Amino acid sequence: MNESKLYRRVQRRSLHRSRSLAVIVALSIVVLVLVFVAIESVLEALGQGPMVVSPTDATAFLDTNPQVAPSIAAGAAVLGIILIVIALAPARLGRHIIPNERLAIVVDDSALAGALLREARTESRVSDNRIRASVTRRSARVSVTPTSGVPVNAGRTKSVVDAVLDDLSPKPGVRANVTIEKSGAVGS
Amino acid sequence: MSRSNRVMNRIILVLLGIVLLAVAAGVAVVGFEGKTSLFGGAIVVPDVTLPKATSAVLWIIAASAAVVVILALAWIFTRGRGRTSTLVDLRLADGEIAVDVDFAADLLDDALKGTHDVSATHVRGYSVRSTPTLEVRVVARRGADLRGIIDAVALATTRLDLVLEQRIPVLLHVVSAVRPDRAHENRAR
Repeated sequence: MNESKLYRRVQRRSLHRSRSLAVIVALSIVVLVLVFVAIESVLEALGQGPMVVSPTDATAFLDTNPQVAPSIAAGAAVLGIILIVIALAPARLGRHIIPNERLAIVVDDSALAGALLREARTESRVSDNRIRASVTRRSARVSVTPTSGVPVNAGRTKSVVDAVLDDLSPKPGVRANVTIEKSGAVGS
Repeated sequence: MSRSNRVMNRIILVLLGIVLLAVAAGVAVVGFEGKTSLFGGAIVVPDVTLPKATSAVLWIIAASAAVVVILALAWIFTRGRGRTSTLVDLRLADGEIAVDVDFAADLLDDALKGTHDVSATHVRGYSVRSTPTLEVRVVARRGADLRGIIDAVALATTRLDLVLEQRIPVLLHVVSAVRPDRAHENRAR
């Protein structure tokens, strides 16, 4: 397998959850239920008494008490729909790919937000707790609370954030949104 | 980066979902026994009679349950495979050269130790489509210089290439530290 193909594969797989956990949980429950069914079936086939309830008694119970059927059916249907949703949902992880000629790179959105925060902080010259940054799949939000009386240049802050995004060029593409809070805070 | 077959995982989940929906439909039909149609004939309730639980039927049920159980356990215990500890395995005419993943991990770890924004490095080896591949997970400090980290890892990797005399595929995964650096935030200003 050549390197770029391999890189595309590992990057693609890094952006989505594998659903292995869901499969393990679901199959474990299936195993428990089927082991129980198998044991009860064998016991009845051998003419032994049941462990909890024999298959014949269980179906007979359902036959004579049809009013419990809708709740059992509803429970099974809900579980079934949950499994199908887990299988078909994209299961995206909050990560972005960053192109590089030597490495396959995947960064968590929080780390990407950190890089934007760093540059915006240097430009706006506010302290760490006055600036917030977050990154979602398609957009980045940076919000700065200026110190009272020391204006922060929104345009320049936006352009340094854009420069970082330009340099890293994360995939899928991210658009920056910089907001400077109207009311500043007192102090450094 | 494990070898788990993800398409198969999804297919299994869909199949289990369909089986559960079928069970739901079957049980619901039993609940409407005695009525032949619902909603003024809009839905026709089929007349189902379960087969008598003869000993042959019970053995068939037990045997098929056992088969499904074995397949399910086999699938469960083969998840998350694909790790490898051998990075390079060269068989030459006059001997064999094997390089352990730990060796590369030590080199990378050492090279990244000086990078200020990196608070930890974890290196693991995977066999991706039978190609040994390194996964370098770097924990970045809050507000880290991402470009700096990437360049540092790329440089460390090219040095590794020189040492090993071959190019190893590397996946760099940058995560951010769970807790921000409190000491840094609380310092006197």
